Order: sequence, then C-alpha cells, then structure tokens
Amino acid sequence: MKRPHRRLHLVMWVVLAPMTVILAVYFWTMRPMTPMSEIPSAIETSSAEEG
Amino acid sequence: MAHEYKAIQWNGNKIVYDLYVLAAIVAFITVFMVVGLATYESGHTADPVVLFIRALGTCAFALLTVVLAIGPLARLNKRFLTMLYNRRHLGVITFIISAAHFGLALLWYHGGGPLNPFISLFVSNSQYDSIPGFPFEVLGFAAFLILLLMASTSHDFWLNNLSAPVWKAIHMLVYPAYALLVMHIVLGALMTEKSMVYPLMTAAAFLGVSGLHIFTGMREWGADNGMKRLKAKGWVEVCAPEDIAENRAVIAPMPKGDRVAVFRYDNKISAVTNACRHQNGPLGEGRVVDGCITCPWHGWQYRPDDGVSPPPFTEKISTYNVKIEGGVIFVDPKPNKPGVKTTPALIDSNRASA
Repeated sequence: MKRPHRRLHLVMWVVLAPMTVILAVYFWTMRPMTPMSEIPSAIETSSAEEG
Repeated sequence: MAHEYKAIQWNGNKIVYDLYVLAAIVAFITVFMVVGLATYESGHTADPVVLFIRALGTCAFALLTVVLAIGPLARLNKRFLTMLYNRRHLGVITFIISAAHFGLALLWYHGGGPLNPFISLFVSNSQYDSIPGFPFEVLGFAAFLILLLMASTSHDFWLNNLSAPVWKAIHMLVYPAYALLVMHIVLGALMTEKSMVYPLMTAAAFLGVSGLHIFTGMREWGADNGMKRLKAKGWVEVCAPEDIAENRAVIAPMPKGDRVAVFRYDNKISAVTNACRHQNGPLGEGRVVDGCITCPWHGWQYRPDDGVSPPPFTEKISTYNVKIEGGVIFVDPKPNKPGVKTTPALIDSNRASA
C-alpha cells in the first residue's frame, strides 16, 4: 500500500517554506523605524528638546 | 485498537511523558517571565499580564515546532521514535497552551469594550492595507481555529468516521497553521521588538523544521525514483539479513511506488506493507514487540507472517513473499491480500550473527 501523503507533505513544505520566508523577511524589513517600545522615550526626548 | 474508543489513550509511559512535558512548560513560562521582567528596559514597567500572554504564545509556538520536527527526526534517527509515539498528546497539549494564549489575549485586549470580543478582534484594527499596523491577531485566530479543529478530531472516533484520507487531509492543515503563526509573530511581536533574539529564534525554528521536512522528503523521493528507474521485474533485492537489526525493519521501495517493511525477528525475515491500517503510520519505523510488529505512531500491532492483529483485534494488512538467496533478502513486489499467511525466510544463523 502506498503512503502518498508523504509526497504531499514534501510538496507542501517546498511551496510553503520559501513563500513564508520571503513574506516574513519582507514584512520584517518594513517594520517601523522607531520600535513601539521606544516611542514613549522618543516622545519624552522630543518634548524635552522642544521645551 | 479499533474495538472500542477511549477519550484519551493513557498508559504509564504516556502519563510520565505528559508530566515531563507539563514540567517543561511550567519551567519555560517561569524562565520567560523572570527574564522578561528582569531585562525590561528601565523607565517603563513591564506588564506581567502582557508578558504572560507572550510567554504562552511563545511556548505554544515552540511546542508546535517540536511536534512538527518529531516526524522527520524519527525518520533520521530511531531515538526519536518514543517522541513519535507520544506526538498526539504533545499536539493536544500544544492546543491547550495556544487556547490559553488566545483566551487571555482576547479578554485583555478586547474584553473591556462595548463590542463582543470576537467582533472587536476583527474590527478594532482595520489597517489591513498596512504592514506595520496589520491586525496580526486575525492570523493567530485563523491558526487557532485550525488547531481547534485538529485537537477536536484528534480521536480514533473521528478517524474511523471521517476515513483516514479525510482525517489526514484535515491534520495536514497544521502546515498552513504553522506558516500563519510565523506571520502572526512577524507582524505582531517582531514589529515592535528591538532585540534580535526573537527574530533569530523564530527564523531558526521555522528554517529548522522546514529544512528537516524538505531534507527527509527529498531523500525518500530520491529512493522511490531510484527504484522506478531500475524498472525491476520479478523479485526485488533488499539487503543482507545482517543489515537489519533484530526486531527492526528496513523500508524497501517497490517498483510501483509501494513501500514494504522487511522485518527481522527470531532468526526469520517477513515483509508487510509499510502503511498501518490506523493512520497509515510507517510500520517499518516501528519494531517487533511481543512477537508483533508495532506501529511507532500509536502502537497498533500485527503478526509479521500474516499481517493480522492479535486477538481480540481484527485488522489486517498486506503481506509480501520473501526469500533469502546468496545471503541477500528478496521481496516479491506483488502484495498478498491483507491477512494472507506467508512463510518467513529463515536466516542462516552462522551468517547472520549481527
């Protein structure tokens, strides 16, 4: 008896893996220049400079 | 096996395994919380609830990565067969952790407003055309729905009633779910994360799992195609008896694409189909226990010479005729009907002392 799904597993990985990597890398490079975690301090710095 | 359904198939080994997994999860979340609170940048207070939500999500992703790596690892090294045997439990535990992550995140971020949290999940952030502002929670929700479907059908009742191909197709949705989770992390946590630890760990997990699957898949594909090119007629040469460890098997691809598990046991050689009746598990990666071929996935058993499950079970698998000539095992590529008794080939004990 054949176990054809193993070949389907491979096809899915061959298609999904590069697609996911390309999209993930592209999205990651498009992240905001100022990370959200730094925004409060960025605002404080900006306010201090203005003040 | 199939004569009755059990809600959860537990035995002593599985209970010990589950306890180890639970201890590892508690340790993971504790370390995550302690390190997260300790390393949070001064000037801001780390929110323990947000950190806990993230710890649960990271834990679920790590567990799913392990679950997906077990299959190819077991094909590369038999030491991982124990993990393969317990994979279903690990999968359900992964779902429970992901449900805790989803439930807590839904309550924390969407539970306080006038809208139903499930509606709020889709409409509170409508920046679907923005990459940095994309509502990444929706991707996580889609992955969670797949895991929910898998966990709720992770039972032999559904396997029997949906049929093995449908059940298997449903459970192969785990691959798109994993890709959705990677996108959920990239468009969520990684959009605001300054440290390179998260991106590197996510990349290592995904590349590791996909590399393992592609490597083992290509290797099997190559072996199958090699057999097809030979266009062998008649009996197929497999290997010498001493090349097979006692109570173990080698998997031999046949010219028409079938795979045969050739077992060595009690100074004899028998061959059966490599596909278990239960979930098409790879019998050739299992071993002979108490005189029966035992599937590495869920422990279904068959006698090596006739492919019939021991009483009270009634499952049958195809057998293949074997012979040993000149110290080499040959298999007749034409399968016998399921349950047909064959004569095992006897190993010359003077030759095969390995």
